[in-house]
Amino acid sequence: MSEPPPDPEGDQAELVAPWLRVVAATAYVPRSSTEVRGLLTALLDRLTTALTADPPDVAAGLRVGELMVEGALTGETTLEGSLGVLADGFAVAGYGARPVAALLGYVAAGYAAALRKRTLAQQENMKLALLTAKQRAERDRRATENRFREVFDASAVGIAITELDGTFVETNPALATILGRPTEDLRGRTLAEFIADDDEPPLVVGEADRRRVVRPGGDTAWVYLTTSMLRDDSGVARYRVTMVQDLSELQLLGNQLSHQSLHDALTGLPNRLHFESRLEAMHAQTPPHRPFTLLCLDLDAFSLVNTTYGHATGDRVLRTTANRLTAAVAGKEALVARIGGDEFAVLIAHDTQAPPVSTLVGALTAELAEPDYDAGVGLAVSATVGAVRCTPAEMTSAEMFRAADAAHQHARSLGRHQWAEFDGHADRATRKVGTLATGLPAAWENGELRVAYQPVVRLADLVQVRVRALVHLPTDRDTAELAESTGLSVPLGPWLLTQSGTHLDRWLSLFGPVADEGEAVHRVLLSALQSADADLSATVNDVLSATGAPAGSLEIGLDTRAVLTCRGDAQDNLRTLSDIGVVTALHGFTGGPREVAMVERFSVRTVVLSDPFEGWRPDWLPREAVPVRATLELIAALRSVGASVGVLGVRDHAEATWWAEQGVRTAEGQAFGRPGGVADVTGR
Amino acid sequence: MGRGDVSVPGMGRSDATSWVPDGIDLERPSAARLYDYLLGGAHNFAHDRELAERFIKAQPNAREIARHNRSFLRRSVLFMVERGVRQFLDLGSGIPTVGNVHEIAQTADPGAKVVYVDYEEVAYAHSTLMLVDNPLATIVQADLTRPDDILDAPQTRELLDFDQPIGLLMAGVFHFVPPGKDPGRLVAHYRDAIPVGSYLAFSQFTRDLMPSEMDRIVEVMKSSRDPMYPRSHAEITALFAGFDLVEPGIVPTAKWRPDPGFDDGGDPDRAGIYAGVGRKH
Repeated sequence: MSEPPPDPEGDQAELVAPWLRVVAATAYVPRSSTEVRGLLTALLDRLTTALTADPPDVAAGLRVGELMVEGALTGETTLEGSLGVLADGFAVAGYGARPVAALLGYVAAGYAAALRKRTLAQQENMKLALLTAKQRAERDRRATENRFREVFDASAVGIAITELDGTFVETNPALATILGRPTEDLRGRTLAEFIADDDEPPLVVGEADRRRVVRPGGDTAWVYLTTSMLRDDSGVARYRVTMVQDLSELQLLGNQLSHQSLHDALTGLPNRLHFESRLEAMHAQTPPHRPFTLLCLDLDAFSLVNTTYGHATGDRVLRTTANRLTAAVAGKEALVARIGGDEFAVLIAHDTQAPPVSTLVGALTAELAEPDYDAGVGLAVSATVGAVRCTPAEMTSAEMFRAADAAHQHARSLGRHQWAEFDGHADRATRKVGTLATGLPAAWENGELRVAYQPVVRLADLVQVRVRALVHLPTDRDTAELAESTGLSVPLGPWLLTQSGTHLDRWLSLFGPVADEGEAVHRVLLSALQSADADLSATVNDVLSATGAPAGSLEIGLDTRAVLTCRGDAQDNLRTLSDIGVVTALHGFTGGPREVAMVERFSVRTVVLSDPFEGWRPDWLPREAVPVRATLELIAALRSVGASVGVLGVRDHAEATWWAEQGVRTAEGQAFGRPGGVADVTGR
Repeated sequence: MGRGDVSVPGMGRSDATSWVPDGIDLERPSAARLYDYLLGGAHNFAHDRELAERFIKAQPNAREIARHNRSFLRRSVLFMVERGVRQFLDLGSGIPTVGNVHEIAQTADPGAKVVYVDYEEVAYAHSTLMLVDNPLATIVQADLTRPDDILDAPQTRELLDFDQPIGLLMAGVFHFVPPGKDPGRLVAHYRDAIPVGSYLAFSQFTRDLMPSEMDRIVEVMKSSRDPMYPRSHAEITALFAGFDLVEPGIVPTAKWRPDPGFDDGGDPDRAGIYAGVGRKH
C-alpha cells in the first residue's frame, strides 16, 4: 500500500461544492451562500486534519457533528446527504475506508447528541412559553371574570343565567329585587314560575318581550325580558342568559337605576322619582274606572322643629311621620313616598267604594297628631294636605300628581293645618296665571315685552310732572307680579332701567319746565328681588352716564319690605342711590313705626303708599274711621321727616281731590291715564 | 354567533361550569407550530406534527416550500436594509425559529428595530421570552386583520418612527386572511400608515403553481385553527396597489432574487408560494 498521501487542499474545493448543494437542497440556513461555504470549508478542514493525523483522530468527528447542528445544517435529510458526499469524496481522495467510516460515525453521533440537546432546549423553551401563555390566559380570564362578576352584581338589570330548560344557575341581586325574593329562594327554580301569564307565546331568543312577573303577595310588575343563548367554543348552546328590566323604573331612568337613587336614605321610603314611576306603573295597571286617592302633604312648622330641637330631632320626626303614614294605610293597596324635604305623598288604590276624601285626610292627620315622646319632649306634627280623587280614565298619572300638588299649594295658601281637595275650576285660573308667568321669559326673549309709561300727576294742580316706567306685556295681568313669581324680574330690572333711560332727556324737556325744583321726571318702582340686586347702583350709574342726565331727574323706588328685612343688598342700594343723588323712594309702604323710622334714617325723599284702604274709596269713608285717622297720621309723620307722599291706583278726580286734601303730593292711576308708549305721553 | 348569542366569561365559581376556553387550545394545531416543524424546529406538539404529516402527504414538497419562503423573507429583509430601511413590522411572525427578522436585520445593522405581530398565544409568549433582552425588538399580540390594534399599539408607537421608511413584512401569512375581510382594503390600511419610500414584502400560497396539491392543502388546513385561502397572481398583484414592484415582480419564492451560490437543483416553480416586494410611491 504505497499510495501517495492525500492532498487536502485540492480535494477540499472539490468537496465543498457538492456538500453545499446537499445543504441547499435539504436545510434552511439563514445565511448567505458565501457564509455557508465558509462554514463547510472549516468543517472539511477539521475532518481532513483528523484523517491525516497519525493515528487518525476520529473522535474529532463529534465536534463536526455538533457544529453542523449549530450551523443549522439540520434539514430532514441533511445528515445522510452530507455523510454520503463526504464518504464519496474521502474515498476518491484515497483515505482509508475504516478511519473514514469511524470518523463519519463520530460525526453522526455528535450531530445526534447536539440535535437531541437542541430539541430538548426548544421543548423547554416551548414549555416555558406555554406556561407563560397559560398564566396570561388565566390572568386575563380571571380579570374578565371579575369584571363580569362586578357588572353582574352591580347591574340594576336583573340577570339570570339558566339551563336550557330555564332552571336558574346564577341570578344577580337586581333580579332578586325585581322578583321581590331573596336570591337563595330562586335556586333550582325556573324563570317561568315567576311569569304571570303562562299562556303567552314563549320568548323568542334575541327578542325583547314585555311580561308580567309575580311578586310575593301576588302583585305583579311589568318587565322587559331579553333572552340570549350562551354557546361554548364549538358553538353548542349550553345556557341561556335572560335580562329582566323593571319596566316602570326603566321608562323613568333608562339604565341608570340604583336603589339609592330611588329611595330616601333617611326614611327608607321611595323618593320622588321612584314615586312618580310607581304611580305611573300603578296607574297603567289599574282598571280605568277604579278610583285612586292621591294625597300630597307637608309638615307644618317643620323648620321650627329643626331650629328648636336640632336636626337629629327633625330627622326623627321625619322617620316617625314616614312610619305613621305607612301604618295608616297598612292593609290597603297603597304607596307612601317622601317627595321632598318634609313633603310626603300617599297613593291609595280603592276597590270600588272609596271613603270620602275628608275621612282619609282626617285619619292621616289624626295619626300624625299623636305626640312622639323622646327624651321627655313630646312632639306632635300637624300637616297641610292636598288631595285628588280620580280614576285612571279621568286623569293621567302626571296630571294626578300635578293636581294633588296644586291642591296642596292651595291648602298652603289657606294657612297651617289645612287641607284642600283639587278643584278643577280654581285650578284653571291658577294655571292661567302660571302659564303667563312661565311664558314671560319667552315673551321677553321674543321681544314681546315693552317699556310703557304711566303718567304721574302733581295733585295740587293735576299737572303731569313725571312718568313711571314699567314693563308691559300685552295682557291684563300685572307683569311685575308675574315676573317676581318666576324670578325673571331680576334681569328685567336692569333691562327696564336701561331701556327707559333712553327717553330720559325727553321727559326732562317735557316736564323740566313744570316740575318743582329737585323733583324727578322719571320714576321706576323696583320689585323686592330687583331692590335686593347687588348690581343695581352700577346699572343706575351706567344709565346716568349714558344719557348725561342729572341724577336728580331719576326717582327710584325700592320695595319697603325688602329694605326693612335687609333682603340682599336692598339697604345698601337705598344708601348708595341717595349718595349718587338719585331721588330715592319706598313703595309698598304700609306704615308702622319701623317703616317710618327707616324713612328718616335713609332720608328717603318719596314714600309711595300701598292701597291703605284695601280697595275702598277713601272719599266715601267717614273721617273718624280708624283706617282714615291712621293714614292721615302716617302722612303727617312722613311729611314731618321731609318725605313727600305719593299714591297709586287713583280711580277718579273725586278720589284725587281727597288725597290732595290730606297733603299727598303725587298720584297715578286710571284717573290720569293708563300706561302707554312715548307718543301717548308726549301727544297728551 | 347568531343574533341573540352572547359570549359570557366563566362565572368564576368553583361549582359553576366554566364557559371560558382554556385560552390555549393544544387540541387544535396551529399554523405557526406547523411551519416551525417543517423548518426542522421542535417548538411543536403531537397535534401539530400530525397535521404536518398530513400536510406533507398532500404536498410532498412542503419542507422545500417552507424553506424557500423563509429564505425569501431573509433576502427581502436584506434587500430593504441595503435600501436604507432600518425598521420592520413583521405581521404573522410565528414561532421564533431559525433566521428571525431581528437577527437578520440587526446583524446587518445593530440599530435596526423590529416589531413582531402574532395573535397565537404560544408564538407571542415565546417571542416575548426571546426578546427579553433586546430593547430594539418587541412583539404585539394582535390579529393582522385589525390594523389599528397593531398600528396604535403603544409598543409599535414607541419603537417605530412613522416618518421614516418602514419594512412591512407579510411573509407566508396572508393566505390565512379570508376573502371576506376585504384583503385589498386591509393592505391599503397598512400602506396608508407608512411613509413614501417604505417597502412591502409579501408572499403567500397560490393555486397557480401546483393546483391539485394546493387544493389538498386547503382541505388539510380546514381542520386547523388557520384555514388557508390561496390567491392567484392577479389577485396578489392587485394587493400591491400603491406600491411599485421591484424586479423580478411577483414570482415563485425561489425565483425572487435568489442567492446564486445556493443551487439546490430543484424546480423553482414547485415552491408553491408567490413572493414579491414593492416600494410605496
